[in-house]
Amino acid sequence: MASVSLHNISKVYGNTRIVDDANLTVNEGELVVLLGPSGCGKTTTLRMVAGFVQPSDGSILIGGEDVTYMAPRLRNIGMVFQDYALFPHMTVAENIAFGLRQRRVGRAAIAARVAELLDLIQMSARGDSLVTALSGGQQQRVALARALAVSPRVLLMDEPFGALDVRLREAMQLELTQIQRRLGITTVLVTHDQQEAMILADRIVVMANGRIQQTGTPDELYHNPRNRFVAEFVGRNNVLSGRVEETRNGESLITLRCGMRMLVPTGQRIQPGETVAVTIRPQHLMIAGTRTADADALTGRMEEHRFLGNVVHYLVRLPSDDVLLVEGAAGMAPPELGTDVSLTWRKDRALVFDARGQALHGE
Amino acid sequence: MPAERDWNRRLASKSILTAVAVFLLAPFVVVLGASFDTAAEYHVTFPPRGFSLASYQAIPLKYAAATGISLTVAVTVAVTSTLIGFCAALGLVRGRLIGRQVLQSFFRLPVQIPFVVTGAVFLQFYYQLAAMTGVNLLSGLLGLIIAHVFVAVPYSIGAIASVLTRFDPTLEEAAESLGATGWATFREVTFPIVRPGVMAGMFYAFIVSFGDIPVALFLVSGAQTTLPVQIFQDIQFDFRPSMLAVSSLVAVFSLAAILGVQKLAGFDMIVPTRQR
Amino acid sequence: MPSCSTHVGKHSMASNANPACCYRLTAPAAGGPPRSRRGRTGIRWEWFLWPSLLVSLVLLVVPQANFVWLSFHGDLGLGQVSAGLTAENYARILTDPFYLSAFWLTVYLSAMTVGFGLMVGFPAAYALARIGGWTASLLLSLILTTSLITVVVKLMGLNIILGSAGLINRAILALALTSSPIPMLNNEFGVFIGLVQYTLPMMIVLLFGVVQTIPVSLEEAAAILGATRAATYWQVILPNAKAGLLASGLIAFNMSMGAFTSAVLLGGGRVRTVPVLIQQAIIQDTDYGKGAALSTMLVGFVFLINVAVVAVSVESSRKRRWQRAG
Repeated sequence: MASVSLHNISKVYGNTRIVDDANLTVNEGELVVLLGPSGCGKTTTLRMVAGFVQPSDGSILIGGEDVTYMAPRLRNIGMVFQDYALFPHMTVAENIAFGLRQRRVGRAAIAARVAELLDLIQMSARGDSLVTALSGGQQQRVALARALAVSPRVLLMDEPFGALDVRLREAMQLELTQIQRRLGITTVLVTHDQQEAMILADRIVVMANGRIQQTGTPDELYHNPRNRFVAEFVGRNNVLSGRVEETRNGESLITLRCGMRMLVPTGQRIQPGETVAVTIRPQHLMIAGTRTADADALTGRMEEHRFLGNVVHYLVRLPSDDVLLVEGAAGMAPPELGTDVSLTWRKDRALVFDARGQALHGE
Repeated sequence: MPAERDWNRRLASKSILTAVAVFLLAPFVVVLGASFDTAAEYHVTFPPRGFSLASYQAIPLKYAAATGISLTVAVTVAVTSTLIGFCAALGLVRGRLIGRQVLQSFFRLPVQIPFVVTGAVFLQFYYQLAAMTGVNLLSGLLGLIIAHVFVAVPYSIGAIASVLTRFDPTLEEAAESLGATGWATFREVTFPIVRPGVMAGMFYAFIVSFGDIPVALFLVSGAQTTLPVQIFQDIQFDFRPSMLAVSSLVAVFSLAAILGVQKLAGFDMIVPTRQR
Repeated sequence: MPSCSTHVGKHSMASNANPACCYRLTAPAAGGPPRSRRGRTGIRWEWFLWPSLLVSLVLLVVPQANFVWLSFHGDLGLGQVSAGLTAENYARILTDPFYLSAFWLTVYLSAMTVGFGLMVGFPAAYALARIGGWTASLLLSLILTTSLITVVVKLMGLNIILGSAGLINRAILALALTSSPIPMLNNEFGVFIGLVQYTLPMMIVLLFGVVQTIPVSLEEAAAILGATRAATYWQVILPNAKAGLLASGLIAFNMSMGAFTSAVLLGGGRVRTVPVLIQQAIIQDTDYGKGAALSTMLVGFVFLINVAVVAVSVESSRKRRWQRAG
């Protein structure tokens, strides 16, 4: 297995910086997910690691070896494509054997290895089927087996589960995690689905507009986002904008657009008069029965209930027309629609970001 | 994204492509160049030894007449075959048919028959017709037009059918729900959208008719020939440098016509590029 | 001449035969009932077929039937044909080595043309498809244009290039590669070149479409798995293009079998392919019976070859699929 490191990688095309100064190290055996919306540069980054795109700047190392200008076929990596790219004119076994044949492995050795991989993906009976006869999930597994057959030192995956329905996707995600851990193969996976990223990743790299926004474990990204984009992209979040009234002991009194005020921890950096954004996760907002003191609660009108089985989502509309999402346990009697409610929150869970989107908490 | 095709850019097959392009374009370049030659008499050479428009000035009048005939025939054929082709395409694409494949193959048949055979077949047919009914289609251009229409209709059908299949039928339903009559729907919704295909079909029919030699060879009488047939015969029996000039003019105008149609009908109509 | 249909060839394979189109078999089942293309309610579009059908029938069936019927009449000289039916035309053609060799020559030249055309045209079409963008469109447009301009212009140019005092021979003599000019006109080679010029543009356009159905990701997958470009070409691209290659080849073959102008202008009257013989029989000899018989045999022969080739390929692909099924 090998590590992958990107140093100051950029890709410029015309006037656009598709990838802008990306730095990343993937440790041996780690599964790192590149996460971001469409057009953020994550796929381009992956393809630079694969060798299909030449970086405009910077270098890529695999296992300590500089591969920036090396042809894809010499990099000894495995790749699962978004459309699987299975060779339609070959059977399952022939597809899996392809990489081995390019390396001039002997027929007996190929057969043994193919059998091994078919066993790994639990398709030992389908070795002689044409790939066109397989279902989506089966094709996906064959694509994975084909990539792993040559024992690559790194595995790359480009939105591999996008075409599968929800149930199948979850099953495949589980299978992938198990296989990856068992083989201990360094893996880089690209997706736009943040839930998928949270499930699969040892670490997540969030990207937007070509730049890496934050790198960290799912827990770190969720609880300690360093900028507003990450806070909003990873997991559900409420955002309220406002202005700082006064600061005292690391806390600030913030006047929101609707006129209400919040007292939140903001660290040392902030000055009165500055614009900030406050984020609170839905599960950290609580519906309080009675009205409490100013700056400790928000009031709004209950607009909608959504019963999701294990939790209930409430939509509360503030006077400023912002709508907050509140998550509560099922089983409690919900306030009626149209009534005024009072919301409190866990003070230490309210995160504040300055006008540039940078985190003020944890400074 | 273009940036990502870097890897697939450096291809060995590109040199084959260049060679093929040169191979196919060379004859035209040569004819064009030789037409400007000064001293070319019976000994045509390339590259030209000098530059002069002599061969252009020496073009005999018969070519103008032949061009006129070619154009008349081609335009008539284009219009007629488009009309016929449009009807056929409508029926094929939208009709409820049992033997659609068979019908499609049937309409494609004229293309599968070599032009020589078509020429001979129609020649015989017109003889028989004259013998049996006294109607002589061999004098004048009508016989030639009919034969060309026979050959050109499959091209028109193909071009029009391909746009018709891609046409979204719910557009017409929407027009109907808004109160449009059948004719209004056709005029304002259907036709504007399928027009590129119709133009492509007309264009192909025109090209097929204008450039044809074997069929015209059988069906024209000595007094009236089409331009390609005239050139064909003169190459064999009466070669002069002015023919280079005529050919160059034909090539240039054809190229202009092709570019013009591409502008009007869109490139995708002429060459099937994006298939996805 | 451009093919009139959007399918590749009259023997358009059922879409299942082109594996590239269904390499990603995710269930399309959720699409709902098939949408009719019928548009406005109540209009019976089939009726539009009648005028065209009528015209086509009249123009196709009647003259052809008349012609075939004519082939069964003997020649009485000066354009007269015998009163009764006779098969002597066919007998004469089938027993005369002159005509048999003419058929063989035509097939041979056509096959060479197709073989060379595929060998050269497929890499060119592949390069075009992968280059993509407006450069590819421009080049493709240029290539197609060469086939749309009336063929005499091209043949005139070829005459100049291939002649004994032409460009190529002058270059060869100047480089002292041989001592006397190579005859490239008025022989089979000249006709071969003419046929290639005639069929190659069409083949490239068709093969271009074929290559476009092969996703680039297949090549990328092969590269990642360690295949060289050559290996990718032979093991991945060509197998997936087989159906398209076959269909394009058949179209080019049909075009070559019927080619007349190239044979006359570049063959100098010495290369007697069947189309040339047909024209001679009808116009020069006014032996209508023989001309008709030759024509019927040519068309029938071409049709048979097409059917045979398609049958063999369908059979072999079915056999392969059966071996691998399950």
